[in-house]
Amino acid sequence: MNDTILSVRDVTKNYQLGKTLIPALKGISFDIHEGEFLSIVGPSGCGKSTLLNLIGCIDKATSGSVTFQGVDLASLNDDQEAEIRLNKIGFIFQSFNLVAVLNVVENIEFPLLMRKVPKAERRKIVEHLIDVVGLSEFVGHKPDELSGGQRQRVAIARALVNQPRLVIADEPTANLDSETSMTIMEAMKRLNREDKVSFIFSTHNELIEKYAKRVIRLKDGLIVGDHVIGGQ
Amino acid sequence: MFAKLALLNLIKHAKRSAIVFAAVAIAVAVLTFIGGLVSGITGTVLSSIIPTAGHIVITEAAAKDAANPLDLKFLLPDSQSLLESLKDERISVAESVLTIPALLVEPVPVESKVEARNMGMMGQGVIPGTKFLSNVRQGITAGGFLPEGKGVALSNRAAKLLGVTLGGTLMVLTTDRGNGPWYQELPITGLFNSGSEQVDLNLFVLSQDTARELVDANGMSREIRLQIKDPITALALAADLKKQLAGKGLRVLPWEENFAAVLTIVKLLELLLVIIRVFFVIVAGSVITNSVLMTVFERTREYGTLRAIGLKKRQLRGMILTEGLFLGGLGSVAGLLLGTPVVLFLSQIGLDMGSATEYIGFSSRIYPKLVLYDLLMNLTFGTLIAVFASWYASRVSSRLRVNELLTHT
Amino acid sequence: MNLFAIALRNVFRNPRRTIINLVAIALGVMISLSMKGWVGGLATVAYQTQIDLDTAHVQVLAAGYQEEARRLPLDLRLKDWSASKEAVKNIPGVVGVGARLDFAAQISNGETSLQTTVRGVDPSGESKTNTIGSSLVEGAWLSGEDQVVVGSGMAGKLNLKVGDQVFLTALDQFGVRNLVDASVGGIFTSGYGIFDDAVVYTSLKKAQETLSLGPGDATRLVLKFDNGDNLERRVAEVMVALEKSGQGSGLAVYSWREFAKSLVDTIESRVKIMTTMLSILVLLVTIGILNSMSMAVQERFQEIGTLRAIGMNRRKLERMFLLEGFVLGLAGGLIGMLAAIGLGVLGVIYGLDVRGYLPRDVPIPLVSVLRPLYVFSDFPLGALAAAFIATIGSILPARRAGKMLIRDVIGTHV
Repeated sequence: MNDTILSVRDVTKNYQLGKTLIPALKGISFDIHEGEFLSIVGPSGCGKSTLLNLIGCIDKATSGSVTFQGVDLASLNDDQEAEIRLNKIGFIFQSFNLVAVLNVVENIEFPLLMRKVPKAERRKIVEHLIDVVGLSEFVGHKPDELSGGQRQRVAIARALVNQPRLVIADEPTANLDSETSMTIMEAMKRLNREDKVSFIFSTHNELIEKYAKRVIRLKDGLIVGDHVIGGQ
Repeated sequence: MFAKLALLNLIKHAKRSAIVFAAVAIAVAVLTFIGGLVSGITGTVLSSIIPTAGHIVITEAAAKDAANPLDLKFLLPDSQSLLESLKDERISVAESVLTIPALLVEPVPVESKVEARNMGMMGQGVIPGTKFLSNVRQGITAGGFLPEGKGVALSNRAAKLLGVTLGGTLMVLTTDRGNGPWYQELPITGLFNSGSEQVDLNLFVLSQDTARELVDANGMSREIRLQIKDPITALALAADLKKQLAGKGLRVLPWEENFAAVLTIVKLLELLLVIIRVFFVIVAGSVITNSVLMTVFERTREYGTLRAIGLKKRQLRGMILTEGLFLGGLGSVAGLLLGTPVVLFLSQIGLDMGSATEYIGFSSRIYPKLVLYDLLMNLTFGTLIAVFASWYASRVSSRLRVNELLTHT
Repeated sequence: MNLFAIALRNVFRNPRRTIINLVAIALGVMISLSMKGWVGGLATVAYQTQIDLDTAHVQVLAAGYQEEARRLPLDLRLKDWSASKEAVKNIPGVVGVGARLDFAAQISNGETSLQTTVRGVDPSGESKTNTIGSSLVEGAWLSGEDQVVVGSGMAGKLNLKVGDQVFLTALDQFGVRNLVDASVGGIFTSGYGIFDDAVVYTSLKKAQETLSLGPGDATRLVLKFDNGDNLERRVAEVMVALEKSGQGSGLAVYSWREFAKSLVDTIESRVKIMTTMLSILVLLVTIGILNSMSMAVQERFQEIGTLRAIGMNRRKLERMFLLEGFVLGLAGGLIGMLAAIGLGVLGVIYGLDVRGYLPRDVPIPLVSVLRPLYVFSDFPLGALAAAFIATIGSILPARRAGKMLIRDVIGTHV
């Protein structure tokens, strides 16, 4: 079996909404191994996005531990979290979340700029990824000149540009039609197969769920199922 | 990288940027104008006073507290020696001036029962080639400033009131040092418009020798006037001269003391403008801060994305500050471009303040002045206020956790 | 729940933005009202002092005198001042009419002489047109024809006390130098330096004697009215009255402002500067409100769509946003108004005593402590003006909200 890259132990997360305490996660434990293609499923409000936020260093658990490549994420300060997000984790959002004023190339290379990668190397990496996601004809286009599927492909390329070990996708196909959704999932799966990048995505769409090799089912902040799906 | 992103963002949100830009530009333009006005007031006053009265004046000390400071007993007895003793390389011009009160009378035949028009005025007895009274010298409209020999120059307005013309004569009546009346009929050799009603209606010019004759004050003068190469050294020089002339019954007056009344009015006017400026800065500042804040908060989700893909808090703040710097800097430049031509234009034609400034500036026109320091200050202000607003907005943004940024509505 | 209540709630749903807007508006209102009050106070004190001490409200002079006033022309004079006085004294509102004969003279105590301007006045008439009588610190107001009344500044310079003898030297109408003597009947302190240092009063008869003029001769008539309103109308009334009585030809009538040009210009130029600045402030605040309301509209896309979808028509929607602007402006205006009232009360109670700081020879008569002068209606008007300006700033965003298509704004993803 591959190495464990992420370990979640007894994690809870509470939110304060006015005077009410909302327990979004009530004690979650699981591991993710290298190269896994894993989906988190469950009904609306079950805690999917919350869990992905904790894994992605976007939020901190109320209790329990999240360890990424041996590092306890709770012990990190803000800059260290940012480092992890920049170098180790890629993020794909439901609403694509591209920078509106940058074109396709510039959106993808943005994380490389943050790592101060030299120009020539940047161009090489970006060109390769643009090929991979099939957007060679749209390099100069801004997000508002692209379809939903094209935008999401830019987002995927951006998420992969720093060669992360883990890509987190929160409902990546929620704003796409079924055909485009499947194209996106195929692209993600191919990247997982070829580059051995671990993918975790959340969805409430059963069709999308089927792409996963392993499914963790959440309900009311708890894991109610965790099973591997054979041969897809 | 951030600079390019900042600029692109500003262009993308053009309307929003335009509002902040406009607010900064208007604020800076107005501050430029006010600054020009304030500098102009001081400059106009200085350029009226100094060429007339000099930087430092030396008079008889006893005149200060006398009931009638113009009494002839307060003349400097040997002005030539005094002048010769004033050797200091800081002094560029040193002259003696004999100011005498006189009654100017229209010459009419004694037997006619027509009233002879007359006016009490101050005669400025100056040496030929005087470097003072430049507003009179430059305002000559007919004839000359000082004749060879006897003659008077007076303003066109005074000449009209007295019913005299160039080439005619004027009776100049005085009281001499023996308290006896004396007069001379002098030719009118020059007419001028000094630009100041106060000068035009109160001052006439004659040679110092003629003035001495009129009051029987051979070798005497009312005061020694000094012009200094570097005006900043005026106070220091005055202090040195006080030491040098101690015990001689003389009074050394730097122009700030000599024209304390005028300066007080100028300071009050400047204070008023400063107050206006401060309030302006506060109101403009709050409008700009609000606009920048709203611009930033509009893009909170975008900031969340950038943070999610690895941008540090510090880098996010830097990005927001860069936008503020651009907006503030460009807006300030635009404000300067708006305000500067107005000030330049007015510095040529002047701003008519009516007779309000007749008293303080000896002129009804104030000429706003562009001062580089003021321009830089205004540029800095406009930029700083936008940067401050951005800093404040960035602090608020960066306090939010990434997930809060992403879910911000 | 009515639109106004909704607007009130909406204004405060984004506290930070609202507070900043309120600060800008409140400051603008506070500054405007305070400035108006102080300038009004300055103008009132200065103008009233000028009128009370010096110029009265309206003056009648020989035509052409004013243009030559600098030389105090004796040839341009009223030839029958009592007839002119008769013609005008019954005009409604007139409380006093005095005659003056102004001339340049030297005043001497026998040792020292000073150049001065002497006013020969008819004592009873003059006392009803100015307040010098109540400023006397020694002696009495011109009880005899051979007396002078001088300011304390002049008295100090010449070391004069009541009863001392003085000599007046002047050129009469023929250009002959005349010397007359008089005794000091009174000394006054008005608080106005220029006045106290330089003005000498004597009887009209004494002046006429000194200048070899007749009993009907005077430089001017000065008229005091019960108040300073409607000056232009009063000037016209005086002219009409003079013409009716056959006195009109060769005479000119002026309001007091003609004789205090530098004072009036000083104050009015300040007013002009401040009005200009305030207009620009208003522009800035309007821009700020425009921006703020635009943001509010943008943030509430979905809400707008929902409201429209459930039946609110465009006009009502626009009105809602306009009301929000109005409420914001009114709230800021009220805060500013209260602040201005607070400052105003402090100003009225404590005042600003600048007399010690102004040089004596400043031509601004500030004889009392400076206090702001407020017209009560200015305060609510200021607050309403702020509400109005904020409403104006909200027009474009409100229109924009009204123009949005429902389908575009429901479920918009940013």
